[in-house]
Amino acid sequence: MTTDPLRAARRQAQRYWFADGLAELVLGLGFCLYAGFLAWNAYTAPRMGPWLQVLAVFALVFGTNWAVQRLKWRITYPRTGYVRYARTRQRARWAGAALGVVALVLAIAWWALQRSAWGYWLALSAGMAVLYLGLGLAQNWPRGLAYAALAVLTLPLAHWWARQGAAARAFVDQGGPWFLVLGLAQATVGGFVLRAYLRRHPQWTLEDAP
Amino acid sequence: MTRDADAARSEQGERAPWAPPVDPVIHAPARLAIVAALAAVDEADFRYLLYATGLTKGNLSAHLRKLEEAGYVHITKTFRGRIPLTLCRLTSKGRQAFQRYREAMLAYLQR
Repeated sequence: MTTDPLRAARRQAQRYWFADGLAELVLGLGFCLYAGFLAWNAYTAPRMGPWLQVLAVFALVFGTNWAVQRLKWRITYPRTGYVRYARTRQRARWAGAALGVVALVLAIAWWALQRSAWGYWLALSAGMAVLYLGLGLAQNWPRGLAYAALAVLTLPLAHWWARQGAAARAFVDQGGPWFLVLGLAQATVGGFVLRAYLRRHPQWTLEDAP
Repeated sequence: MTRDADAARSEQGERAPWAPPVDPVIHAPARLAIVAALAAVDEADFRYLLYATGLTKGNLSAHLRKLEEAGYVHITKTFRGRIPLTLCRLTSKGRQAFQRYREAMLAYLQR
C-alpha cells in the first residue's frame, strides 16, 4: 500500500494542534466556567436575560482562542516548534465549527417550536454531537468522536437533573449539563495529554537552537 | 543483461525507460519528508520539522541547506520574545516542483 506523502503530512499537521492537549484543556475549563455561569443564572434570582448568555458565549469562544494561542507560544512552540497553518485549513476549521453551531441553533430552534422538553434536549445533544463530529472528522481528531458520543450520553443525566426542581430545570434548559459534562471530560483528558506531552518533549535551551 | 543496461544508464545520468521522471532534489526520503511537511502548512519552525520528520538536527540542517540552494525553501531566522525561530517555507518554485513530483509518482504507481 502506498501513501501520498502530502496527505500524511496534512494529517500530521492537523493532529499537531491537539498533540499537546492545550486546546482541550482550555476549552474544557471554558465549558466548566460557562456551566458555572448557567448554574448561577438558573439558581439565583433575579435571573439574567438572554443577552448576557450571548455575551458569555462570545467571551467563551474568543477567550479560549486567545488563551490557547498564548499558551501555545509559552508551552508548545518552544518545545516542538511553531506552525502557521495554511489559510485554507484555517478556513476549513472555522467553517466546520460554524456549521456545527448553525446545526445546533437550528435544531434547538426547531425543537423549541415543538414545545417538547425531550425534543429540546435531544436537539441539544444532537447539535453538540454534530459539532464534535464535524471537528473530529475535519481535524482528524479521534477524541472529537468520543466527545460526540458523550454529548448524546449526557441526555439521561439531563433528564434526571431536570426533575430536581424548577431551578434545575432552568439549568438543563440552558444546556448546563452538556457544558458541565463535556467541560469536565475535556479538561481531564486535556490535562493528561498535556502532562504526557511535557514529559516527552523537554523545553529547548538557546544553545539547542539551529 | 537488463540490470547491466540499467546500471550503465544510471552511471551516465540517464533514466531507465520504466522509471518515473522525478526531481532528484525531492526524491531523497529525508528531503521528501521535509518538503511534504512544509507543503502541508504555510510556514514551520525548524523544531516542528524535527518533530514532523524525525530527523536529527545535523541531518535536517544539511537537507534544508540543499533545498534552499535549489530555491525550493526559504529560511528566515528571527526571534519571538526570547524564543529563537528558524522559519522555513516552501517557495512557489518548491511547491510547483513538489506538485510535479507527486503527480509523476502517483501516475507511475497507478500504471
